[in-house]
Amino acid sequence: MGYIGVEPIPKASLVRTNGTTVSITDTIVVPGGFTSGNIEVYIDGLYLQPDDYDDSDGQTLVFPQNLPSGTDYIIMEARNFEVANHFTKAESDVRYVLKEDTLTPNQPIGDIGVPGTYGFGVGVYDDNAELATVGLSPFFGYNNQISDSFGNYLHDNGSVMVFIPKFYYRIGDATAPQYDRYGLNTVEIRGTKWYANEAEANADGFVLHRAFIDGGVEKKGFFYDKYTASKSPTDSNISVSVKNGIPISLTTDANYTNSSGMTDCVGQLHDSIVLSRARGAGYQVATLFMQSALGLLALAHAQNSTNNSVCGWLDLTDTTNYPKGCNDNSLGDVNDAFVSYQSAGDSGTASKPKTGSGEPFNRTTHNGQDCGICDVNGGMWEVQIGLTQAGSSSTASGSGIGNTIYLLKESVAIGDLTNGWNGTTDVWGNSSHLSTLYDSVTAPVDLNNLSGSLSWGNGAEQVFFTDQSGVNRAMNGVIAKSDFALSSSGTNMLGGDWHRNYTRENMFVHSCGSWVGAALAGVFARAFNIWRSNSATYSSFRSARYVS
Amino acid sequence: MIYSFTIYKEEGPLGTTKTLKNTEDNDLTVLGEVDGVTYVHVPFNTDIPEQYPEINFQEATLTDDIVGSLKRQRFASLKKQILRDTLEDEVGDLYDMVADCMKLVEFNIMLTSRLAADYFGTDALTQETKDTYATRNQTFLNGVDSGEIKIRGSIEDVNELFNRLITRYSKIQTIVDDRYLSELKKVGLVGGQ
Repeated sequence: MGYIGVEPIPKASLVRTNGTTVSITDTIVVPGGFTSGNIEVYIDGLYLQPDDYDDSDGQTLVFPQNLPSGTDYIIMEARNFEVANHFTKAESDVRYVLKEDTLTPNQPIGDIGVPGTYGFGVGVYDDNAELATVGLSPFFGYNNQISDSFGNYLHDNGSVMVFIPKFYYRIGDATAPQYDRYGLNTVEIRGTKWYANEAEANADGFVLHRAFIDGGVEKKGFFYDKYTASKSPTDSNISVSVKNGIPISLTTDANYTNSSGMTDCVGQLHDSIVLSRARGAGYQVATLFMQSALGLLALAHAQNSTNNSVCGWLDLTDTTNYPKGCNDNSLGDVNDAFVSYQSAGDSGTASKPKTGSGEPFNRTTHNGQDCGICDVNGGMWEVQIGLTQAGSSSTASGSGIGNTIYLLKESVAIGDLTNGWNGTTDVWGNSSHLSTLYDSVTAPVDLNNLSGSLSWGNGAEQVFFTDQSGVNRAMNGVIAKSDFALSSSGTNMLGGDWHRNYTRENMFVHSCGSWVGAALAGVFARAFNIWRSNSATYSSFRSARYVS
Repeated sequence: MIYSFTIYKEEGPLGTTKTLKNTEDNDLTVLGEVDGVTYVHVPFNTDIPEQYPEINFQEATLTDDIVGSLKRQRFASLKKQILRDTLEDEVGDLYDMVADCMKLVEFNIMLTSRLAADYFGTDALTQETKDTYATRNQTFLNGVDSGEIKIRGSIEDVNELFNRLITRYSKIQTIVDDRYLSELKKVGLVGGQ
């Protein structure tokens, strides 16, 4: 018998044995035998119940009474069972999402979504009651996948934060659908509903991102400020994340809206930690690991999107296929003439933008949708913790200090870290202090080459680490994989984003680029040349928090 | 100093784009693009990195057409928008400024009319009125001379300003005549000359 379409996978085959008794008998011998329990027996066309006979010896059926001569019998045995290509109910209940836990149209609660679709790159936290204990509550529409507020939450102080659910990534796998185009830098993202745990993801070649580990514990995700930090309209001592806020410049320069004079602040970069912690216990300035996660999400979305509805900044030619922003020193984007920002109005320059004022807004977010995190390309350089170098004093800023860098240990909870120097919980210190909080690593690129003003990407060369654990995993997307992964103008896929090689005592890495960053600005832009006590008009920050 | 360059692109995800190289410390300003050539202002005494040969970075030769085109692009429009926003924030909204202009015009008309009436002998100024006008006039001139009052002539060549205003005014009259009055004249809604 033929079939229409794809050949069905046989689950088992049926073997039929039939005949007629030639004398009175209470037994039927089945040539070749059978597996007990796998047979059905028909006598003169009538189906017998299994307890109407004894099939225990696997060779002969024994009946409780004689069968007359001339009795027709049929024995059907199921054989050749295939391994099922589906899960049992018990397995399924664990792996799959109940309808009531699924958002419209299909993104599960707590999942990062599917690249190239609505809602990808943000998500919904599964316990609003728990969030209330840390001052967060959901926006109307937070659980509607196509809403501008999908995955958006409001802090008690007025800050808008976005939830980034835990995800796994796979880099440069030859079986990926986009591999032919993006090669070794193909990025695949899968959410928590794909895998029951990290080991299962690893078996598939997927890696848990370092951004989802804090205090030695795997986290459901992290909350991240949607906008760059600005002063609260109701209390100028508080930093908030609000649309059209005037970004706080971490400086004493009175020509800019600045951190100097805010509670416990001195107009230096480490004010960012003071101000973030002031939001409440557990809040901290964002990490480089989180920034890396945003970068990989943007890249996966770029590689999978097919229309501007799901990705406002999409460029199907892949020449400028990344989030746009304020980077041309004239409140626009060097690669998109349609993007424009409002001036913050600081007397120092009219080119500094208000955060979140970019239009069209979805061209300025990490996922190309209004629900995403904006201004990840240009605007303000953003200070981020997680990687540093040792210093000889709290204000030391010497360069040429070698390629030993320090990566924050997975066991450290970022909410515990403080802005000082060499104290037990301080982000900065000498090498002895840093060794208690950080893993010492030799930088994968030559940061000590101080003239190294390079950009991410070098043709088809792999840029990202593929390690499933350890410091290499932590460095993925934070710093390039090797010197070969950098070139003078980078690749279009990575926006030509800056990779400013440098070594600094008390390094305080910057990301994103500023309003004058031009092509060098972008979600992967990193400047390794800046230090803790620096005061910079173009530097700002965002706050973040893990919950559980 | 204004320079020009042409962005060099190798298409596709693994291609590259070479454009102006700068440092974070330099306040370069991209003025706009004309016929595929980008123009950038580099402040005096600014050291900029060595540029890619592929982008043909060089001192720009600016024609009137190029300058005109650049003035209509993002940088100039942005500056004009910022000017408008600042005026609205710090001086008053558009209607306030129009009201101020009307008061200035009214003042000038009154002054001219009084002087004309005195000159033509139809309504001679009394000595008391002359003294009032003289005092007011001198106070204004003193303010201009001391810099306390800033007028447009203090920051811009008055001849150029006058020519530009008259040229624009003339253009408006031409447009009004061509696109409006002449059309209404044709159908008899406005009397012709």
